[in-house]
Amino acid sequence: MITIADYEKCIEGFCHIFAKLGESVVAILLYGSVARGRIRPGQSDVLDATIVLADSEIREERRFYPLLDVMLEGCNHLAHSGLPYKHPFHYYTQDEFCNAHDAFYLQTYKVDAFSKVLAGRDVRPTVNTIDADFLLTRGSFFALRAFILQTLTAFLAHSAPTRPDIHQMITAIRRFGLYMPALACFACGVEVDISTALDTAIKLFPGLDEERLRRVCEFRRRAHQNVTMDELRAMAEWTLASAEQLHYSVTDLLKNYGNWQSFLEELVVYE
Amino acid sequence: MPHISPEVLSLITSRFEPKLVSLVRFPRPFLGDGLLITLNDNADDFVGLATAIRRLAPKRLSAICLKRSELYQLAMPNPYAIETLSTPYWVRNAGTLLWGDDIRSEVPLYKHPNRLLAFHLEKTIHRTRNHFILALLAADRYRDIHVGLARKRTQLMATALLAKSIWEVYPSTISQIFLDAYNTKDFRDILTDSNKLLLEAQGGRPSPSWLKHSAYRSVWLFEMFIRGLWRYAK
Repeated sequence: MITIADYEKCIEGFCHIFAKLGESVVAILLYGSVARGRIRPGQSDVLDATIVLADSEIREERRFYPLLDVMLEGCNHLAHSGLPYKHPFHYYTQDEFCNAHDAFYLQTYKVDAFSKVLAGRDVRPTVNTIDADFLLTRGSFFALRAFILQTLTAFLAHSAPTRPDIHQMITAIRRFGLYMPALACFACGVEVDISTALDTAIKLFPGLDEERLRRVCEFRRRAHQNVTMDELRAMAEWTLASAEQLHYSVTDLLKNYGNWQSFLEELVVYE
Repeated sequence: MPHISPEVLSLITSRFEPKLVSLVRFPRPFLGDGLLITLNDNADDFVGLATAIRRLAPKRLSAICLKRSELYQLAMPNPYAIETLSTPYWVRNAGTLLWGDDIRSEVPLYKHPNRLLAFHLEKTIHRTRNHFILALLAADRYRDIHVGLARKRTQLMATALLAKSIWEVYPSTISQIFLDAYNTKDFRDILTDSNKLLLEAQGGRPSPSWLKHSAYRSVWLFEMFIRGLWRYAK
């Protein structure tokens, strides 16, 4: 049976692998459920981590290849840990981490509860993005809504969807569950960590059908091999309904309390 | 561009006319062609309507359905479909009105296209390195690295060109147009070396060790490409 100690042992081994790079590694940061102390043994991803490297490590070709070897050793360590392993870790140079981080994830590092330092220096207070006003990230909510609408109506329109259609549809619902509540908050100027986005959105937009929204967001955790076509269709319909409700709530809030017109004028131009 | 027969067009418009504002077909050279379906703002059951119209439209066309007042959403950047950033340009400048009101000029463009490059680079750094580069290298999928990075490089070039208001690029022209717009020795060398590695990896029977080394080099060249673009995005 998998225990929390298995996670701790795996993390220790992971740090040990990177220790051989010495000063080249500025920091190893941890985020996600393990960092928040909310490990669900056997379900939580083994390690959501970010490696922050010294700026010269990527620039010089002769130093980059040994670095790649160590990072791949780190991937193998995680993959063979026997714990759930969904994806490799992120790597940034220090300059990128401090000046060009994805705006969507800044809260993860700005708020102590969402991340922690596994090794090296605590560079989290310096994390930043180029898009200082988050305008494009705020606008992304509307782009994702249009994309969800496009993908799921295409799926529902066809009586015999192909395997790629089904794959696209499941990806769209997973993206909705992972990102849409957070982007809805962002659109209204409320920065959140993904882990708190759903609860924050439910508080921010009181008219939402909470039960339906939670079920749609939970769908991404299911093993999709066993889901029937009828269930998929129902989930597509619920996702669309939730997306439209969120979309309505966000635009309503921005029109009533935010400055909708200036928000749009800052983003787009009609020439 | 894919054809929509007069019969299909007639079927769609006759069935949905009071709620339908416009149908615009538009090319997207890297993605396949699209159909923009614009509905009245007061159309009830928007999702049901969009699905019903989608059912009649040719499947090979990627259909985007929006209300008239929501056309601005075409110009919002989708971080999960970053290759669609040039869509509003293609709708406005190369779209064909099939039926209804000519809404093409109502599709806005990004006010600050230079910011899109920073946005795209930030997303690339955050996602491509772990989900693509490390994942594929760890799985020894060396050939896929070359092909995938070439695609991601092309997407970045397209966004970098948008920053200079150049949107009309095709697979056969984008590299040259990019090098004309961003004329540096570093970029020329990176593109030349990357393309050479791609061709070598695809042809003949390279040894596993050569494939691994060339994949590593391709990744490093991609990193240098990102680094080069940063100078223009900052």
